[in-house]
Amino acid sequence: MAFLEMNGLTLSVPEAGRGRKIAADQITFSMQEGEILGIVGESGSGKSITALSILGLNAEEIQIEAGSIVFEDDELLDNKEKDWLALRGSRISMIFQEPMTSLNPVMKAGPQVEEMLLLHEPALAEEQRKSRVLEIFAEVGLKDPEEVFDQYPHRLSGGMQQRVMIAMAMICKPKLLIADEPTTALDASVQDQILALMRKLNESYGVSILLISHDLRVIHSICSHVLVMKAGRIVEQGEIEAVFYHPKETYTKNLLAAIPTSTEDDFLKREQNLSQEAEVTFAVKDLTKSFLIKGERLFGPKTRQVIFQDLSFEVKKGEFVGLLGESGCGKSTLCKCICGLEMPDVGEITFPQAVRENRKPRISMVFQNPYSSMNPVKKVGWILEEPLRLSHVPAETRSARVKAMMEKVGLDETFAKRRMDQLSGGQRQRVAIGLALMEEPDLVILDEPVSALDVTIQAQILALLKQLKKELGLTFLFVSHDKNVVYEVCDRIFRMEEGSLREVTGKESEQ
Amino acid sequence: MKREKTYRILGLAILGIVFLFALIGWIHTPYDPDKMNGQTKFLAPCLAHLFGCDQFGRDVFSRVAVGCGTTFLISVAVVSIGAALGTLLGAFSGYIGGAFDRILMRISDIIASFPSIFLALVMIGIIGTGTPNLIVSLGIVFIPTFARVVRSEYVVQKELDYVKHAKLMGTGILRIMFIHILPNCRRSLLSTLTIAFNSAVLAEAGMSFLGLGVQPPTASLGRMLSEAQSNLLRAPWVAIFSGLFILFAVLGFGLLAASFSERS
Amino acid sequence: MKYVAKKILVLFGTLVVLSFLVFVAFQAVKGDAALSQLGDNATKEQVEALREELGLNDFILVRYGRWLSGAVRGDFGNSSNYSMTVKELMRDKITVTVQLAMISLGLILLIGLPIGIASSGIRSTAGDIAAGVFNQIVMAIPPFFLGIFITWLCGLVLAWFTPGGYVSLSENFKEGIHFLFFPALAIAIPKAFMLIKFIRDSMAGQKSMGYVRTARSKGNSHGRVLYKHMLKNALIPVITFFAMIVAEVFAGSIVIEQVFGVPGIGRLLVVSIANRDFNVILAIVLYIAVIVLTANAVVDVLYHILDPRVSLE
Repeated sequence: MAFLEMNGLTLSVPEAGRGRKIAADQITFSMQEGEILGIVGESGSGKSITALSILGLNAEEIQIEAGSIVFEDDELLDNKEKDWLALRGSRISMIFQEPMTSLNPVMKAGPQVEEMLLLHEPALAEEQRKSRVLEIFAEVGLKDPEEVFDQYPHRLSGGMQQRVMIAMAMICKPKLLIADEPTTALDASVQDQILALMRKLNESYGVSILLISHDLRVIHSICSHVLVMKAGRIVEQGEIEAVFYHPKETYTKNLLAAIPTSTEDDFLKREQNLSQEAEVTFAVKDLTKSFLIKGERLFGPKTRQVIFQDLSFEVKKGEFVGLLGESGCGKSTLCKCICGLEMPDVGEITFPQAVRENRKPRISMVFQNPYSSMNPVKKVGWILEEPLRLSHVPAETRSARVKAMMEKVGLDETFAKRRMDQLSGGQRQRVAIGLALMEEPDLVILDEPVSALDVTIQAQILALLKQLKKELGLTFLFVSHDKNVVYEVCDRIFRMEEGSLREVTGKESEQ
Repeated sequence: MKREKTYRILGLAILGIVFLFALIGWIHTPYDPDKMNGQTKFLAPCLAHLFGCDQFGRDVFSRVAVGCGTTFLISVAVVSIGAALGTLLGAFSGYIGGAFDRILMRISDIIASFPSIFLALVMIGIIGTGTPNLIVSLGIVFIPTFARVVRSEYVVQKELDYVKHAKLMGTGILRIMFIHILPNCRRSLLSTLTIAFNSAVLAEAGMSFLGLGVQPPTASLGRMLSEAQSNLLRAPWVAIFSGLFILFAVLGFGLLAASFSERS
Repeated sequence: MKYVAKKILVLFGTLVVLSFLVFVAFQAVKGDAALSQLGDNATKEQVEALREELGLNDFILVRYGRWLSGAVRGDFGNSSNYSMTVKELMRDKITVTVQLAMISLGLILLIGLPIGIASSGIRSTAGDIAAGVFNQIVMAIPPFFLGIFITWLCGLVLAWFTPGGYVSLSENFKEGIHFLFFPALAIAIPKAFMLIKFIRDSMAGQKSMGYVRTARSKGNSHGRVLYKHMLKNALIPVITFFAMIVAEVFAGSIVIEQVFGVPGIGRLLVVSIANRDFNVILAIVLYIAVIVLTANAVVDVLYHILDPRVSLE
């Protein structure tokens, strides 16, 4: 008998019109004790509701149509309310994506963890409970357990909050830990620490882990087995190495192929089609930007925080330049300065061609979040026509040009009549790109254009960008935190760290 | 989902009844609402006079119908003033920000912390009683309600990337404010409209009840209720029907407002 | 502490600005006090002399200063409608209105809090909708209609009190409480249901929060999730709502005093507005402003104390 066995589980959700839609179809898998099993899939693949049904935690509108879930010889779907209460937290526990919102904001961290013992080990005395909590806090790598105990969640960093969540999940020594995108909301360096902690707990406590993620790299780094889900079905399952290196299904192959894997070496080795033209698109000279931030005291003096200092670089016409940096390094502020949404303190940015033609430089931008970067109540056609309307292009020419642009970015012309909020993320990003290209810009700034997209959609958009780069000969500035993506598509790369800029040339060691 | 639908259908149905009465009041009432008749004094509801007659023998049905019409017209005028000026003020305040915004919002925060009937009383105290004065005072009272809602929408919307896009394209500020952003506020505007109608009806009825709003001989629901008060035992139907229709109007808009808040 | 000090400072500043604006507005519409005092037959010189004597020729700021320095000592001048000072006129009436408001607030909490908390635990959709519609109906009852209904039922039919009569609490507590309890009930019922709706909405808003899912995943029962986890989160915003309730109670008493014939501030305000008795109106407006703004400031400070996410600094 397996440790956890799911057999033909089928779940349905209500659909917008009427009737129900199958969201998880015939899910069948089993898991051995001590195993770390990953479930990978893109948004809407049904991975989360599948996992939540193990704890009976799905929202009421999600119905179980068929199937069974057996955990240590118990049929969970026969559970009464009180069976669920006894199971949750003590034998199976769970951690979630957003540690900040997953903790009760008005309850101190210690008591939240202590509540687990209150519920499942009511015999313990108060001091025993507290010492158990401090013990587990130390175990999960919280440096000062006593202090964390008395803190409200919002005083802790994201990584610490997730450690508190893990402490809470582990304090009753459950057999199974379900982790739903536990690292997605965290910074890259913290992600690795949390994954390492989960691996450690798996080894020292023997807790089995069901890890849900959209990120194949996360799955690959700690799981021994993996399920690949798509649109409510399991497409492929097996040992991690087998699935990753010898995928059988086309979907898995596409998914794996879509992951940008280029490294710095690949980038350096690749023949760059660097622009031969001498024409400079824009030149940044001695640029400095700082912000005034509120002082510690109420009426105290404000302090100045320098975002970056004395940046100078040039970009030539037709180049596809990458700007690589972690969040908070100042790359977004630099972009805002270049396109004029922020004024730099010192220094200048010049666009020689615009100066020569005695006009303002035309800079367009594609933003990260396709859901906020396009006006949700407007139709695609209206949005794409707007720049033409502003420069008084006659109505007949406008729709023809919009049609041509839609074709160029791979959108069917029927989309012109659709409202923005009826489009998927990838489609919205195509509209955003189309809009950016509408009026022959001097420079197109792409600010994390694929970070919010699922990996297969990301690959499609990157392919589109590569194609546009070849066709149009425009200048692009591609800003991203994801080095693999940058190495894959860019011709030149600048790395930004703590407000300073360095070009990636392979010769850094000599400097 | 289900809750939103139930509220909306109920709300619209109730408002439909009130509106039907208002239509009767505007177009044709069975009796002259102001005609006194000694013979029908305190007449209980019967087939000829469905809602009975009051202390002067006037037909309550006709007076309620005219009163509904008056209430409707006054509320529409009041809410239009509040919505138009409030939206304009809120849009500029939220979009431009800075000291202008801080001062304006400080003022409307203070105003909004007072109940609308109290503010209307103060305004009436300054400019005097009568229907036009009532409309102006209540209209001014509702400006901050709209200004605050629209302003908070603009504060959020102006930070969204689509507005940055528009700015980068060189779109003019008025075009950004009213062509790009305003349509995105339609939901909160709609729900504020229903809330404003709800309190406008109540405030109008209250002021007329106190004798500071619609002046006789014009029939108004609030006034009828206050006149009915002294004859409660002899003719309770006057109070019941006039009160019931105020309740209907308030409830209808209340339910609609609730259906909008369910949706978001 | 600094936060509290700042709040108090802002409160006083607001009151000064507010009273100045209302003062100026009234001065503008009041017409010539000297002329109205002397009648149409007075000569130009007589009017001028009285104007000088009353200080009406002074700059508006000077006149406001004079009014303010009187006001802080409780001197608001004379009523033009009743021949007595505003202070004398208002003294007893303030007590009555405050008593009425206190009883109303007590009733609101007594009715609103338990029902609000209990009814937010309703799990069936149909029951929830029914509760919501019932709530809307009660909130929609105009307070004066409810007042008339209570007069009719409790006063005329059941004869628990004499409509139109009034005995003050200090005269005869047992009898006097009847004349305050029923008006207070008329004020309280719609507001209590506003409080119920607010609590229910606030609790419903918590349901989709991540921490609620966490609490359920820990093995908390439905009741424990509701009362140990959601309630405190849901009640913090209710505190801010309470400032509004205080304001609404005083506004409600304006109308309800009229219905029940309670000799309070509200009734005086309505009479004074009808008679354009500006000194009295100004005093009452200021009085209500003090109460409303103080309630707001207190609630703000309380909110900061109770919500760990906002600090007092």
